[in-house]
Amino acid sequence: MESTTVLDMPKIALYTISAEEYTRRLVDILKRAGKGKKVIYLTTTKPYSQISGMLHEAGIKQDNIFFIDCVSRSMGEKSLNAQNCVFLENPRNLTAISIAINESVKKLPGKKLLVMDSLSTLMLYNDHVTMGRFSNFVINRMRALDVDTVLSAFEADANSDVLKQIAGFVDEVKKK
Amino acid sequence: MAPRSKQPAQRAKKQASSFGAPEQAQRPKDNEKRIQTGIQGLDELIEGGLPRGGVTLLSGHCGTGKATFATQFIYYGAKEKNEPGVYITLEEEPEEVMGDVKRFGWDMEKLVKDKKISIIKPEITKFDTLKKTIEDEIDKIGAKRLVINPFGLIAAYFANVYDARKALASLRRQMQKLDCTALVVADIKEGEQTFSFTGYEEFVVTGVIVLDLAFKKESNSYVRTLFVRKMEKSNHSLKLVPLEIKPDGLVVYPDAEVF
Repeated sequence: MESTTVLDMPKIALYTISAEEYTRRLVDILKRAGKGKKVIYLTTTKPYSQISGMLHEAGIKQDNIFFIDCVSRSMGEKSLNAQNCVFLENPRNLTAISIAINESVKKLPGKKLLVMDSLSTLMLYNDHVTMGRFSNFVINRMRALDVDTVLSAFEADANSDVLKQIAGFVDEVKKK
Repeated sequence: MAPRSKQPAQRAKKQASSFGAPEQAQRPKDNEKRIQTGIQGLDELIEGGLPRGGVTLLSGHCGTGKATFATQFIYYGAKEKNEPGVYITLEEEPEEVMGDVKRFGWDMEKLVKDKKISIIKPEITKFDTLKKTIEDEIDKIGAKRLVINPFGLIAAYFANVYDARKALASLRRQMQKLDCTALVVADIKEGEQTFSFTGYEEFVVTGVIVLDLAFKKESNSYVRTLFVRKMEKSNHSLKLVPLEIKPDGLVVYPDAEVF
């Protein structure tokens, strides 16, 4: 997949990131793209507690971040309770994820950014047709609701059919 | 790669409205002719609510949320809209109907005491007698809403399908006359292709709402769904939408998708 840097802040962007740099790059993206916005952070890679700790260490305030955690419950964690986080069953249920994204976006006021971390995990559990439908739905919905969106994936998946297809839906594809 | 622009979204919105269906389906119109269901998100799909004075079939397999839906319809009307309701239960005891929904925080007993809700379990001996019982109960509390759960037990009472269909048609006329909006629950056996016990009820009623469970092999689990199959006098949505049972009742997500 080609890397492009057409715009500073795309409306809908797909970032492919190397596994080694993944966390650091994502923090950078969040710092830059999340400025002055309410952020909805969907995590399918690490539990909320870890992501939250990681952002804390990076000096990112979390007052304006709402998390959708698809990991903690699938790890068997029972006592999950956080004001700024909704805990979903697992990363396999794309219907539940689409509901959570929609509801979070509707709930938060002002300018918003959705960060989906990551498509690579969702691709492990869902076939490419379903992933294509789901990504297209999220992208169209976020456009309609005027929400800037960052879709992230591991660089290793850049040539997958799913990411090639998604590249056609987004405004910008970037290799980070 | 296309440059960032608001134009595609604006153009898409404009097209959706000029083509009509999605926008119209969400626009509540003729509010006085609609009865709000109390199921969050559903009324958007059916132009603001169920057609007033109509009979809607609520159809689904076991475990799809029909009983909760029916009770929520009655409870919401009595509690929030000052529209008393009659609940005809043909299997469960009235105490069970009230007890089942306590987990949602719905105090049905108080509304029964206040004569906003009447829950009865009549014997089915003759359909005309049942109709008379229903009419009396509606008159007693000035009911605007009626639930019959399950209607299949009434349909099964008739010797042939034709009589069952006629009975439902007469119930529909009765509801129109009484200005009462009815929801009749239809249990569907797994694998059946119809929406009701005889397969004919769906032709007689004003509307058909189908609750179901869609199996998703990726997650090895089921997703609750809702589909408005029919709604007279409505430009209703034909989209299969997700449904969830939340701590305070059923919620439909008209903007979400089933994957």
